[in-house]
Amino acid sequence: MIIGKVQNILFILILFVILQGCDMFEDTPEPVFKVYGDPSILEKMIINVENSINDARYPGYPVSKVQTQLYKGKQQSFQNMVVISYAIYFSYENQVNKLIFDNLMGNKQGHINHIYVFKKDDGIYLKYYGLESDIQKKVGPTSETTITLEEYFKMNGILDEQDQRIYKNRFFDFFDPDTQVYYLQPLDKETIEYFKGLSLEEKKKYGLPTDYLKQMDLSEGELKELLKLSKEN
Amino acid sequence: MGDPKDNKVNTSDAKNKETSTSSTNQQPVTVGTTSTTENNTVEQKITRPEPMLELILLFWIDEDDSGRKMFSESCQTRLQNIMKSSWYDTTIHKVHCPPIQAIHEIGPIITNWTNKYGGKDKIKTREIGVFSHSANDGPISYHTNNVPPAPGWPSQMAITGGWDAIDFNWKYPAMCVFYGCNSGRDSTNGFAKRLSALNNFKDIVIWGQSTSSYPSFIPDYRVTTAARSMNIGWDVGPTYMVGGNGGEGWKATSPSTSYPPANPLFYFKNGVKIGGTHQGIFNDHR
Repeated sequence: MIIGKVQNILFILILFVILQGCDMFEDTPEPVFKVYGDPSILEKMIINVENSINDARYPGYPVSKVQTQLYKGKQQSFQNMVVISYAIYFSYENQVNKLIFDNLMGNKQGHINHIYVFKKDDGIYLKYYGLESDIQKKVGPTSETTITLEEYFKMNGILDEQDQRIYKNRFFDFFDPDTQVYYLQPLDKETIEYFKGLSLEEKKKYGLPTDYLKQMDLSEGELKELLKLSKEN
Repeated sequence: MGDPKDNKVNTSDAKNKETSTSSTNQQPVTVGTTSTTENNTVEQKITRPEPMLELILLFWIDEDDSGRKMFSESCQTRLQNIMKSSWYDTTIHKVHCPPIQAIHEIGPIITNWTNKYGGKDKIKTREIGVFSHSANDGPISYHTNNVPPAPGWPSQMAITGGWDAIDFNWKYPAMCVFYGCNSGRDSTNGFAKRLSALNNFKDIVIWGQSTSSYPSFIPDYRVTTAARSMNIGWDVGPTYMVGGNGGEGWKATSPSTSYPPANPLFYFKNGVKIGGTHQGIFNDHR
């Protein structure tokens, strides 16, 4: 009887650990985000959180969703699983910036997702804490100061109108956390050009997801061949 | 013949000998005359260029972490596979597995080993490998802050002033492989992709994991044991860090079902992904 119980406990323990790997936190949900700061500042702010994950349908390609955490002073609440990295888009009145960081603390004891908003020299900054113990130590990724949208585009080389529209939305729009879904991010232009320059045989070996193939301006014959190969695989 | 780098040719045999193209069989022969003096021995030094040495450094993160054994064992497996390779020549290839506590140790260690073998004119870097946790900003050292720190965390090293400042002293062609999770994602913020666009990685093929990585006994499938999942049993069999999907841990230990195929490592050159495959292409004990 006792041996049986021990065996069961051991089995559950083994089952738990064999699900782990380099990604030790694959079954642990991310803590909810909390934003702290002067309410008079927060009520003029929008904070949208983009999280990137590994999607078995598109291994190695960027899959993410954007959810609003703070909209003009009102906090939202959401939880996600196994996040690789975060990009926090934030705006204060007509000023914007973005804070990007890897989710390194996802497998650590005391993991939190806290954002502290503070004002310095007329600019607004964000500081992220991933561990409770980091709050006292004041260790965590910190944003640059807020700038105008035009300055942001110029500084980051965002020239394409469609890209600018996507960024503008992420800085100023409301993304209902409950209705957002993960989607495959667009492929960058350099990779598209490189891929198009390959021979059909090379394209077949390259292994692009079919969603990307369909978006490309490929000849009908080539697309048919590549999609056929994808189905076979 | 003695030392091939310092050959001595004794010309005394040629003493008083004469050859001519006017020989009967019409074969072209060089005409030459040596001294008629007795005991005319000339020592002629012939120098051949020394072969360029090739440096291979396999770094692994040595810190108090659950992944430590996986990193060290995968590193040892790569070392053994290199030494068993048909191209491996002990007189040319110099392989070392430095354990490191911070990512910023990589640059100085490359410089130290390069100097140890005579400097940049004597040895070139053929391969760099890094066995560690990793993410979009590259390899991670949780317990030691890096200088300069990545914009996000000091656990990772910044590309600007960090990775882009390392003098790798590459041999061409050469390869650089990051075995940790998500080091090779094909996205604008992908680590291997961004490195491959740097001047000090120009024309070098950089490999990274397209997804999370897990321990495996073979490079092309994810195969492990319950023991290893409990962080024991590492000394039995080779170890590879292979790409995998979450939730496939059970299949990886279960011979009755088919093992999950390893997700590919993606490889990049000059800022663009040029392919993807499992690491068995260059790292396999079988």
